[in-house]
Amino acid sequence: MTSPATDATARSPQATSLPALELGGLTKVFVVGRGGKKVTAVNNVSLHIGRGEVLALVGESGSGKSTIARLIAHLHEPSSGSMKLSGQVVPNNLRGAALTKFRKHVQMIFQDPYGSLNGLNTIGYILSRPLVIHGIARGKDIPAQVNTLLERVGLAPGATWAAKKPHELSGGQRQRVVIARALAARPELILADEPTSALDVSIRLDIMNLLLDLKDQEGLSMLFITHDLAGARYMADRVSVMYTGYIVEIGPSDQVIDAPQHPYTQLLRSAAPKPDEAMRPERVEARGEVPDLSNLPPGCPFEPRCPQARAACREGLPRMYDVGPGHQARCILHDPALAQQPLLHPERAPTV
Amino acid sequence: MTAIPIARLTPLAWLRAGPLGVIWRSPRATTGAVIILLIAVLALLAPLISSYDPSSGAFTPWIKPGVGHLLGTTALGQDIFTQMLYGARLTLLIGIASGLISTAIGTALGLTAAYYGGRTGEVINTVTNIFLVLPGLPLLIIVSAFLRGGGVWAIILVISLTGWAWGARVLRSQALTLRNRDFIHAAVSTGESPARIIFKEMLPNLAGIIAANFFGTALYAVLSEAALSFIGIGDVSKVTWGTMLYWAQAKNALLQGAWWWVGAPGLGIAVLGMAFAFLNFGVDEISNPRSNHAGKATRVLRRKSVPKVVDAAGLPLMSIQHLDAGYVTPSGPVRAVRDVSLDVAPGEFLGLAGESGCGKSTLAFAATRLLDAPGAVFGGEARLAGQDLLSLTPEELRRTRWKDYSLVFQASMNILNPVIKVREQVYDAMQAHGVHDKTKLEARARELFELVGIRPDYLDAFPHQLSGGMKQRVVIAIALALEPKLVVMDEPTTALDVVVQRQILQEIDQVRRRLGISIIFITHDLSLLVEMSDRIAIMYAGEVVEEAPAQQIYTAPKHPYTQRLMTAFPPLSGARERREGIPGRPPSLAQEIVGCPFYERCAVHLPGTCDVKKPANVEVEPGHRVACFLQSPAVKPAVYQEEHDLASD
Ligand SMILES: Nc1ncnc2c1ncn2[C@@H]1O[C@H](COP(=O)(O)OP(=O)(O)OP(=O)(O)O)[C@@H](O)[C@H]1O
Ligand SMILES: Nc1ncnc2c1ncn2[C@@H]1O[C@H](COP(=O)(O)OP(=O)(O)OP(=O)(O)O)[C@@H](O)[C@H]1O
Ligand code: SF4
Ligand SMILES: [Mg+2]
Ligand SMILES: [Mg+2]
Repeated sequence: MTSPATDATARSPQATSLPALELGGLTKVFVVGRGGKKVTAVNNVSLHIGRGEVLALVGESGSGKSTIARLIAHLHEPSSGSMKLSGQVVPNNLRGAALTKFRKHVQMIFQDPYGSLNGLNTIGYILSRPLVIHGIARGKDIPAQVNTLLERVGLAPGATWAAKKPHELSGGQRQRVVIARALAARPELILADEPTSALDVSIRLDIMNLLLDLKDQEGLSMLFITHDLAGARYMADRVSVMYTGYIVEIGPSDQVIDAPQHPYTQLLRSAAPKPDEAMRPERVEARGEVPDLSNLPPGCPFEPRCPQARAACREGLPRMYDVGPGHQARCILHDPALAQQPLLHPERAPTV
Repeated sequence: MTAIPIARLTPLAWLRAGPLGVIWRSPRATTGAVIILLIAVLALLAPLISSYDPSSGAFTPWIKPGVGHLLGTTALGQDIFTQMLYGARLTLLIGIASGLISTAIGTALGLTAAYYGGRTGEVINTVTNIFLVLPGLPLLIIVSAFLRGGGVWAIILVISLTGWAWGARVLRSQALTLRNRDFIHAAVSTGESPARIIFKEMLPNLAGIIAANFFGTALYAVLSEAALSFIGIGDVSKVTWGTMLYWAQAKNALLQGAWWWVGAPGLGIAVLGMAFAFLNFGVDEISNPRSNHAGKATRVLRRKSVPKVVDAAGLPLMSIQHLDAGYVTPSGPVRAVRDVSLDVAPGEFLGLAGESGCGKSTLAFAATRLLDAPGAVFGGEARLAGQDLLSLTPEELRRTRWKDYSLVFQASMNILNPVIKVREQVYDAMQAHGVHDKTKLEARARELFELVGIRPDYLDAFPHQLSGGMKQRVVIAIALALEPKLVVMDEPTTALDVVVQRQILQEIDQVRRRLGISIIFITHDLSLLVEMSDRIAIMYAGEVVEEAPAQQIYTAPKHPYTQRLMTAFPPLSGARERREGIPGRPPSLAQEIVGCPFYERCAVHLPGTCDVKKPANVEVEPGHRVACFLQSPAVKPAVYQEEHDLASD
């Protein structure tokens, strides 16, 4: 295998097969504090993940990436919107046995390998739980299955690792256990919430490679959350970019990252470290703070920081424009008529 | 590392490792436990210790403490020592039983409130708060007035009912943080049942707090029983330390000069209360450590050394020579920095990179005299503008730090005091070094804020009103306040967003160019480091294995480790092809490393050479130093043997 992420066009799901996940207008409003302040963490998000596809979700801290994953995993209940798993509608208010059954199909991997394993239990116990809960193994089969799982994530011999407790493992080894736990239930969809950001550079690559290999071997679909654009490009077939709860750009990885079409994605890309160039202080233009989620501007949420803003940007949330095959961006610059308007902040325009 | 099979632990080790282990790890808690055990044993053995009956008034009243009656007798002619022994039984029973019951109620309600949240949580919370604001003693009195004559269990019930709320509150808040930990989310998303999550995942992790809570409520119960009995509510026909006080008061013991009648039970209650309090604090201290890094970072280790200042002309600004540092642990020294020599030129941006645990922070701390115990400098020197930092007195050090050099850490923003305005905290740093003029302070503070890209109006904000990125900028502003010659930054932006990180780094870079300060910048984000630095030093297992101009490290690395490291992160542009990490892990720094430290992971090593000899750090090209036999056959001399002996003392 030469290409890290399988090529988007070659492997994209055939039109006939149903996507692994479809979200329609998913919204989550949190009520925070005593004053009943409403925070819209996820705003009308629609997307799909094909079978065997990796979709990366990138964006600023607090833009709602984790909330989307938690909504999909039903750790939070959506305020509105719909969700389909392999074409089947999943009710927003799943409870009881139906919820347990649903959880077999969707598993999460968390960011902090130190926080996501209960330090008081052995690795063996931790991995046996999903097997027991979802009736995958019972009795004497369990240890054998646990060992197989451990060996699948590169922790061989399984029996030795199963006897250990989390504090005896390094960060990378723990994250392998976390991945093994997610695989135990034999899910179709993996939600990986920044699975590598707590890890060391070289281990980061190991974990990404492991996830890619498992995806290929088991035909898993994956939502890969990260704030590392280079990592997203390495892992994903398609990338979606979030800003203040909205998807502002979505499309094939190489297009979104190599030729971003939304000013926010362009900002993200210019902020990413680039070892090939020496530091150029003037490069990042957007100043200012991320807007308050409970009090978003009426138009484009990025308008207050955007160097390209026009009057039309203040007039309402821009729609998603098609900017290439399977590539959309939420920015009025892609409306030829509106793009003619003069800049609101000429002083912010890029100097180069 | 090997697993410790639980079954093979010795009983003593089990005691330490087991659930009650916390008690033996805190001297205070151990003291408390011993006192309570002692009282319990005396109470249980009462009939063996004393042949008298605690309530029969068979003796002469008002006998002073003496040989026949160790603690004298009461007005009714009872032996007080015997009463103390038997009274301990009920007093302890009331303490422990009420402690257990109220802890159980508090734990159940606190956990339920935390797990379910929402409306259930709100209701429990409201009830808890009502019980918390109701004044304890009056409530006790009213309730026990109704239960009068109900005996000991009525007392226990009353005390438990009034004593659970505080525990419920503490437990709820602890359980809430636990509830939001990822391993609980993981259990939920695996499909675990709520009962199992509460009892199997959450409860064991709260054991320490529950134990502390139990000792706290037991203390409350002992004191409440005494108070209730003293004012005569309670069952005064039973002997407890509380009812002893009641009778002593009723018979005017003190007026009669019979201080012993009041003193014995009073002291008993005080000692028992103290024992419970010790247990409570001790267990709480260990199981609930509130880390206080900001305060700790000032403890330093000073090395006795000979020359103090040498001529600084023509020398690098910072010069670290043969520095050896690490940690002294019960199982021997950890040598986290091994014979490191590094220079930083004036105005230079030096990047320090390497895998987690390779000693980057230890190097930064040791060279700047910030290494905490158990950390220690074993040998070598660190000079700033010719001055040996390692031999400064604490007073000299205080004057040098912030003025000549300053530091910024990843968690630095936590050093900001949340209740003091940012302005005061910026002023503080300058005032400590003799700037007192208000207008000067104000002007400088505004200037600093503009320097790091924050609007000066934020000087009037409290830290909690700022985002993480802004707080980190404030800390950087403080670090720059006195225009130090050197700023050491240990992952100052790792916790921040990419865009914010970029903005701050640009700020730092501009300031450094404008003021000509040197920067030592530590991170494991290599792509960032290559872009930012003038020169980069790569650390591996405590040693600097390669050192070169940044672009050269990136495009033409010479050490096999650096070569692997530079392709171990995916690129932002260019071909999307599979890359491989570096197999294996670095060697343990607690052991002596024979040969090249990278030997085991190195694909191109020379058998018979790399595994037996240590490569010397050699300048193979101008400005490019490497420690690898593929680059130079030079063997590193064993210079630090004597320092190593020092470390193992
Ligand atoms: N349980 C909650 N209650 C209230 N607000 C919440 C809750 N969870 C998240 N939020 C808010 O929703 C917004 C989005 O948070 P989220 O964790 O999804 O962001 P993120 O994109 O994952 O950020 P990061 O990159 O920092 O992980 C934030 O403003 C956050 O404060
Ligand atoms: N208090 C301590 N007692 C014993 N060993 C310690 C202590 N603190 C650190 N160490 C050990 O010293 C070594 C160097 O630690 P250090 O924190 O300097 O690494 P680092 O390179 O800064 O890593 P990171 O990138 O994770 O911050 C590590 O192997 C660590 O295990
Ligand atoms: S000295 Fe030998 S083992 Fe060490 S990096 Fe060079 S070639 Fe590899
Ligand atoms: Mg998140
Ligand atoms: Mg460190």
